[in-house]
Amino acid sequence: MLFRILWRRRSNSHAEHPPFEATNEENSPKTMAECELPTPRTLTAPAGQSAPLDTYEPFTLSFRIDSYVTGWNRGLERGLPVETQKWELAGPAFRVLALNPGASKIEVKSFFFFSGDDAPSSEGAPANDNAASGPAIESGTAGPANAPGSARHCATINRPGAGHGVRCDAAVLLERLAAGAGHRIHPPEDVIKLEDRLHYLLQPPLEFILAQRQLEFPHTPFPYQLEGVAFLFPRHAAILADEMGLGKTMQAITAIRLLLRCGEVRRVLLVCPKPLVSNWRREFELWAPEIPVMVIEGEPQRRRWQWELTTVPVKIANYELLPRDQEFFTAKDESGEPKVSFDLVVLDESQRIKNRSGATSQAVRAISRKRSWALTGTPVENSTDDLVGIFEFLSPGFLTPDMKPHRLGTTIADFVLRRTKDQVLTDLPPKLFRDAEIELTPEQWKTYEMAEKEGVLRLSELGAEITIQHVFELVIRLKQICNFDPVTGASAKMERLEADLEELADSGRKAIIFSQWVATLEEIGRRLPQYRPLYFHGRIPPQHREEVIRRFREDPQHRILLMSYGAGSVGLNLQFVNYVFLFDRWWNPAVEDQAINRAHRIGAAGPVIVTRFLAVDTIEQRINTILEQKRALFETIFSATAPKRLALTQEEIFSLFNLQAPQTAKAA
Amino acid sequence: MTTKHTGDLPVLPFELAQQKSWQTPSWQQRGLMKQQDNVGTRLSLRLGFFTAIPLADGGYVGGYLILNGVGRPIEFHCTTPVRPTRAQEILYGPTLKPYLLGEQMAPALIAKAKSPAEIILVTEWEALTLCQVVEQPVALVLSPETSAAVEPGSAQSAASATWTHSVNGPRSAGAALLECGALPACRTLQMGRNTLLVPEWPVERVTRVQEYLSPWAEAFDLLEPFGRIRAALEEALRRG
Repeated sequence: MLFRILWRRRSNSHAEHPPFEATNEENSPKTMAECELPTPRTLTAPAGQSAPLDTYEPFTLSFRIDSYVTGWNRGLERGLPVETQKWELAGPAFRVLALNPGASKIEVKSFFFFSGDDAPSSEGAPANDNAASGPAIESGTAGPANAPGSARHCATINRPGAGHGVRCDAAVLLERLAAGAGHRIHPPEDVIKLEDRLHYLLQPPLEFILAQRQLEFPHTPFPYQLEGVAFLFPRHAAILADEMGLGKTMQAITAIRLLLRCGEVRRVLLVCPKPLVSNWRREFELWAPEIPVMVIEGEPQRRRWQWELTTVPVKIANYELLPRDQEFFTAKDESGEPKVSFDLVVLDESQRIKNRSGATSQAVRAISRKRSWALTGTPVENSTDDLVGIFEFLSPGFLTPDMKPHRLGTTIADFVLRRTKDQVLTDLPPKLFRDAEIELTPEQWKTYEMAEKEGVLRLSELGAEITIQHVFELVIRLKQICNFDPVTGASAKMERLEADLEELADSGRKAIIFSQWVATLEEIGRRLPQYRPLYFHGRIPPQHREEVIRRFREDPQHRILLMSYGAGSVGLNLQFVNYVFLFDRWWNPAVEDQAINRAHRIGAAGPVIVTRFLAVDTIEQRINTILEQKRALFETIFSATAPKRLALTQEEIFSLFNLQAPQTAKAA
Repeated sequence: MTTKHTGDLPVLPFELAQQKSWQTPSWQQRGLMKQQDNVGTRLSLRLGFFTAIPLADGGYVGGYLILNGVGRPIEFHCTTPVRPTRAQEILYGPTLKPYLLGEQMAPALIAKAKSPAEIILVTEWEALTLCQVVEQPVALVLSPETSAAVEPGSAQSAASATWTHSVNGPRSAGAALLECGALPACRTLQMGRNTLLVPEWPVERVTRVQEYLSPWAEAFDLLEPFGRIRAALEEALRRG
């Protein structure tokens, strides 16, 4: 038996080779497995070379040996039969993979913004009409009123002195920022260009700007007020519809101030009801002391000059004036361009233009302007048409009267900002309602029942001739009897009011008493001389009204203010009053809310108690039931931005007396 | 793209800046507070802010915002989406993000600026590799969480803590970059409410940077502008 040990690379070990067999003398086969082989060996590469290490393992080469007994010598001479097997020892050819990381191809988009650092101080230069611009209060741009002459020539220009000089509390603002509660200016949806959108997004938060302490403010604005400023600032069409008392005036003035200071607007017109002109002038003095303000008033010749003056940044006009002055502000120059144009027109109490066909609405819409804002606490007083009317000023044709409420709500979402006190003033003192249900005196009952019977009978007799006006007359007649009996002068409400006021007098508090009739207010005043009543209603000349409010605020002897809903429902700050009496009820809950909110607003010293007088089992109670339902409906509707009618419909008015409304009757 | 000078520090642009006189004319002057808080000086400041946001399908989009000293935007540059190649992913491994942000995207953006920023602030530690390729000082603004974890004024340990804490990358990547010199050894710098991580500059440069940044950093949150960049990048991505 012969063994020969060969070595082969392990890499080829998978190649098969026949089993080794050997034959011994006894012809008993012995397999290779029974033979002991050397252990595998690993060959190391020569020093200095980095060839891979190979492992070799032993294997046996087997061959058969046949012995013949016929002779040793002969047998030795025969060649041995050898079986061979071939293995391919060379591996496959190496492949080289080249990994080139390379540099990423990077495309860069660049945007360059007007910094304001080197802005020219040119008078009368046009505002930045199209370029979005942030509130760069550091800008060196001179405003359009950088003309001393303008101030000299107009006595009504507001020339504040040193200002109130109170800085915003930077620490408070920075804390808000650190807490992630900063307010950024977000571009409205109608800003299309990416560059303009980015410019708004890249502006610092308003808190950041105010914290730099470059502008005077009477106090640090509330966060929701800065939200309102950030909302107004970039918009060309906007409605700020905050509930009364949240500071729409301050928000509008601050936004105007920032726009003026960054040069984005240069000529601003503010339109408000006539009684509020002095209030706006005062608010400008408070919130933007450096901005000259001119009130348009006086003789026609003077007003024409005021309209055409271009060097005053802010002008204030009243609604009543606009139809009369339309020829002044719509006049064209030789090139056909309007002589008078504004970068921004702001309408306060913009529900004044809800009637699209009204002279005021048409006059307002005729003003040449680039931006249009509307301020109102009651964007919808009666129906969705009110909103359509306001939008005819903001963006003509944007809304149509036939739009469904739901679609209307989604369409205007980007243009309207409305917050309620409940949402934003969690620390405002509460407003407590107290419904005083009054039973008429026997004398009043007698008169009331007689009037109602006669009235209903007369209405029934009118048949098809009946109009809404006939019903109104009866309602008014009955409501007046609920206040005072015209025959005897008896008044259950008055008795209750006197009792309540006695309590108030003891605590030194003041009260406002609302009625819809001047005659009622005067009757109340005659019966309460001990409280030194003051009057604020439509018959008080506008120039005296501010003095009335001042006396009421400052003179402790004047304990009550008798106000009509019409005159006292808008734009007055009476937050030092804690008690409000609604001697009779208005037709529309929104107007009542406005009246109440004269006292219940920011700065209110404590809870505001609202007492609503209601003569039970009378027309007042029937109206109240309907109004309460509408008030609830308003809350539901406006939260979904889908307003509907709020005032009494013609059907509702006729139903007060169980009458059928004719087809031609008109709504209230 | 220039190589950073290590021994002889280049004079930074702001170090030569002359203080401009600031005059507010007419009615604009009324209503302003009497102390203008060196507004003119602050207007001449140029601060650069770089950050990048990851994309859902991999890669990044980067933005570079230049503000003046009162926080108003002067320039904004943003990249189109940058997606690493497979080869880059393999070869750069955990150092891919530092490579993309600090060596590719940020330098490309900075090269486009017309108003060079005197100091560049970043908010991802990976972008600190930028300090190897630009002349301007580059500093990392630490988040409040990270700031709380590092020891004020500490040197390399702070850097290590940041690598660990900066969460965007495994510690080994930061440590490896630190060891090979791709990232500088750093120390923390407290400025007002902000904690910065800055390379181990000579004292005089640290002092100059402190003086330069102090009008901002003492009062304002230096992280805030990065929020603006992110909002702008998201807007740019939305609008294509």
